[in-house]
Amino acid sequence: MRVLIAIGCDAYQHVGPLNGAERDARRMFECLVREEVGDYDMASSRLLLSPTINEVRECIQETLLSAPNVEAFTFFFAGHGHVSSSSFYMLVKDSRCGSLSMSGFSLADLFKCLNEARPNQTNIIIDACESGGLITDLSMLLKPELLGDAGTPSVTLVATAGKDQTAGETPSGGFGTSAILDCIEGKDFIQDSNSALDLVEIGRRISVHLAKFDQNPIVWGLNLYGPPSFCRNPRYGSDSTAPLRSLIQEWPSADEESAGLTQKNLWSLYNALHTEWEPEKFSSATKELLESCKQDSAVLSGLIYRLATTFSVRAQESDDMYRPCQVSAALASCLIPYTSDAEIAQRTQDLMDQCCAEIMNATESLFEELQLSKYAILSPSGIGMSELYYLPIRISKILGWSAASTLISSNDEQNAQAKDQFTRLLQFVLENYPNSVLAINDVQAPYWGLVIARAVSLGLMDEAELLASLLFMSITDCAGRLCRCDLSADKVLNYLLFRNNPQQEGFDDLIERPIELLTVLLKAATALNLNETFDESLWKLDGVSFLAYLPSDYKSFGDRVMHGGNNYVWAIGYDVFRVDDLERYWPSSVGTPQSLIDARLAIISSLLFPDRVAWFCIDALLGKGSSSPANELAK
Amino acid sequence: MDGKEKRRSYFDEPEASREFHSSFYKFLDALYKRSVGQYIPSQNLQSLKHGGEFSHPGAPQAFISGMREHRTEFSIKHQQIIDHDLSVIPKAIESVLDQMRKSFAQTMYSTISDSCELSGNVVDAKAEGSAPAAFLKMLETIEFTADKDGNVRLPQMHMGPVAFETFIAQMKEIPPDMEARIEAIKAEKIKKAQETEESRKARFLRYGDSE
Repeated sequence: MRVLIAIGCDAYQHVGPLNGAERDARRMFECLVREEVGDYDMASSRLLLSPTINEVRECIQETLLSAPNVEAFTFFFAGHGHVSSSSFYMLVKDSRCGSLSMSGFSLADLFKCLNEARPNQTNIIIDACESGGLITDLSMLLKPELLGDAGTPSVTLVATAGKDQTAGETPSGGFGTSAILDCIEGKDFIQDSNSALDLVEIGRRISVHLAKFDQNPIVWGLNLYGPPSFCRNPRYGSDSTAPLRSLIQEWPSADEESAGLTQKNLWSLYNALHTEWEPEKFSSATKELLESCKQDSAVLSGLIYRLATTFSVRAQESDDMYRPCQVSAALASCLIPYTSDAEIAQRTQDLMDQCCAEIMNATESLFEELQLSKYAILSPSGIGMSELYYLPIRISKILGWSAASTLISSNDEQNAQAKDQFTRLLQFVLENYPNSVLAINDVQAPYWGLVIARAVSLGLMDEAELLASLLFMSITDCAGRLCRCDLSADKVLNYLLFRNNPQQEGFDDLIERPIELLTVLLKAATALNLNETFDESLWKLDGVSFLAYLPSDYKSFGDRVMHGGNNYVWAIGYDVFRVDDLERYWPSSVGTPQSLIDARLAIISSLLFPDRVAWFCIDALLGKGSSSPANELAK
Repeated sequence: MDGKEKRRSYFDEPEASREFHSSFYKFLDALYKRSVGQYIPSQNLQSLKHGGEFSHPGAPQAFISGMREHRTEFSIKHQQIIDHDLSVIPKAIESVLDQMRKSFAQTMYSTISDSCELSGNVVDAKAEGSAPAAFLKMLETIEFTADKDGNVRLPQMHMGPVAFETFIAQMKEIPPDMEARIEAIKAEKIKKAQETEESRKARFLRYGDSE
């Protein structure tokens, strides 16, 4: 419970009256009891206007000692203040300057109650002349040996004037109170990084303002444990990182070390989202976070939901229209180990539906731009020679993700739209970019595998045949010497110079061996009746080795490196002389994902981490699969 | 903010593109340096770390050619990119090098010309009547230089292929007295160059004495 006592004293029996103290107390009270501001409990909080000393003492005792579990207690006083015998006193209606120890309200009086009630956090605001004098009292009231121990009640105090200063006021209210209210109401900016404001922050801020009126506020804070809880921060959420900040604050971690690590990890993930995107790093860090919550599926599910919400907003800030779908896909792929839980499975499917929508959104955006210029696929930042290398890869990615969008959604209507979009995109590319449909790097294997297989399963046989033929031709043109997946950008020029004249020697360190894209094309050849055509040119690939990695367990298909499984390798001119040879030597029994959702996750994992091909999916789409989840996909 | 809407991108890798182009410029730079080396020995190449021209406060007589800008460009059409026309790469490289070579040669010859005009070291071949006479006049006009070991490198002559053929043919026909005169001037200039180098070294304290 949050409790507030606000006292304003204008009427005095033995000293001169004031004009704005009651108004200040009322303003403060009305402001802080608002749910969206201070959320102090209206029923338990009290507003005292020009009370006597007995009324004050009774009120404090009653309020603090009768309220159960006071989480935050705020005491506000506006009125006369005076330092006498090295102690500060708040003067109320019947206080006498000659007998303040009896008739004034001291900090010691307040602390007697606080020590018994022990609210978790106490905020004291005193807008009175000489209020800084209470510092002397504080040092005696708080036991130094307790400071800093876990569980120490937090006490924060703001006195709006030094111990030898008067506290000024205007007809609209005291300078100090007005300045504090400006901070509470957000008129004066403090920070937007925390959902709550600490009284110390406010004190620091008003010090700057009040210095103009020759008031030097005293700010004292002992708030070593627990988050600040004076009032809500109206400026919080004005920045796009608000959801992440909220997520960090609510992180379900028991120990502080782990919470600190979590914060660091979350921020580093978040910060990288809209600039340099590295799915491996993102996935690895996310998995670490999920691991800390895996005991409770409800917590895990909630966490994924909040991560998805937070990161989705951030990903949309990227120039890359395909960034949001990749982020959703990466989050989903981290959930492969947990999909046996129904709640997590549902959450995963929701993410993939979202991913599908994001892919379609990106593709639609691309279509819009292509209507204005057929060169819209070209990089806006790297127009030039580098595009001779990056454009063919980009095209395979765009089509690959579009093909995936037809397979991952649970929504029939979305699926139908995705199929239509994929068909249009494939036809556009083949019509306008046929020469950029080529094999250049082995990272294209999962993308082209999915595109060709999906085209076959959708009955786009002419398109699939043309696609496979173009790719196969480009592989034979370079004698199967595709670029290494891990080729650094500064070596790309060398590879292009090689591709311009593939007879040259001396480029061996740029070449991937064995390659998986050739496996994709040879697998597709049978379904497309291209066996004989390809057989005629296979001699050009004499000596080229190619492989298929088949995992033992698809639960690890989203891992950076999969352990176990088999790297099946063949070589043209050694064990393969015809396309059919591959079919003959293809392993008869291969593992498949255990569920439809795992199958979908494997597909998007292969696009995120293109050093693996979802062979079960390609087989199923080409009509060769035998597993039920894969066949369900093909339907 | 320039008010211009940023273009959306699709699986773009701007950092990789930048790295690619950086490697392309390094590649061109290496080829260009090799090409420039044909005119100027690499040990004579100097580079500036910051802006502003060279100046020689201790040698006011030194010729300062000033800064000259060399610029080249090449263009690749969008259609060539989407057609995956790899021949654009060698064409671009050749085009850049060719332009840079020409630009450099122009700068070098115009700088030499300016320097000669300034010092009066100009020989008019037509006024001299023949190529051998002009050659003789040139030898009389210029100074040779010797390296630290006293080796004198004779001056280089740069001329076009046709002029070169004509020059060689005419030099084969020169009368003996002119040939003797040429040899005498060469010997005199070599001797003078060595003496100049000796007197330059004499300005040091104990030149070459490492004890």
